[in-house]
Amino acid sequence: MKRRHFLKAFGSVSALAPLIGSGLLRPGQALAVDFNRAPFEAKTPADVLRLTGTGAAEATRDIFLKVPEVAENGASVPVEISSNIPGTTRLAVIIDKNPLPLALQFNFGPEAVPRLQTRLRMAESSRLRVVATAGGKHYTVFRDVKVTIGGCGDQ
Amino acid sequence: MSVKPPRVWVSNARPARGEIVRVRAQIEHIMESGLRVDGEGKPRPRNIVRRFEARLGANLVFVWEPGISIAQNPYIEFTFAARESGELLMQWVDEKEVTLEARKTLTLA
Repeated sequence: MKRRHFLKAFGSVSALAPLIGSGLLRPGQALAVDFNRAPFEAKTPADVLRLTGTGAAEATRDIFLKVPEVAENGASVPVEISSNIPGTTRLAVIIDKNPLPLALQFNFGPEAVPRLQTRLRMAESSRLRVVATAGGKHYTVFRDVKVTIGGCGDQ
Repeated sequence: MSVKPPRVWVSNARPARGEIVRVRAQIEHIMESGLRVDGEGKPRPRNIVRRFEARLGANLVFVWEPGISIAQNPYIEFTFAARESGELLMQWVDEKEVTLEARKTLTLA
């Protein structure tokens, strides 16, 4: 059953609260936390930084960013990021020249290690930035990536 | 979303307490960006995975919010410290609110 139908049927999340304690429901399935999606619709890297409040990020050497210098296929660019900044709670990846530059955000819980690997799309050669948030401060690192075949158009 | 089950790999399902566990997870999903057009020049409606979360027992390990710049069939590798036994629950939600789940049991050695 889809969650929204489920919630509609029961009226509200609070009506489900007794079920959470009973173990019938996991909190994860009842929680309706929605993050701010606006930065994901921003069309320039400057707007992404503004909307995420990370414009004043300071350059750091404590973020490890592994991405190919030349990516042959922009449809799948492997990236590995890890932050050595203590207390990192969030990582964001911004690809400056993509139509919507904010590629991902990662929000870490206390058990998580601030490290991830995934695969990105890149429309063309571009600067790739990582912004880490730790203790209310922001840190950034970037690489320039050359893309041989873009990953956004029709193929 | 696809009907194929998520592919999940866990580095160690019986970790020692505090051991760092790596998890790789991938689903099949078109991650349609909304920027492509079909044969008749009409834009294909956007549909991307907009949220992925991993929980161990009741604890939220992390939340991943992908944008349109995540490759088709989104792949993620993440890492956390195993502090308790429990079920690792992974959930993907796309913009059509289709949800996919995968579970792995972790038991502290």
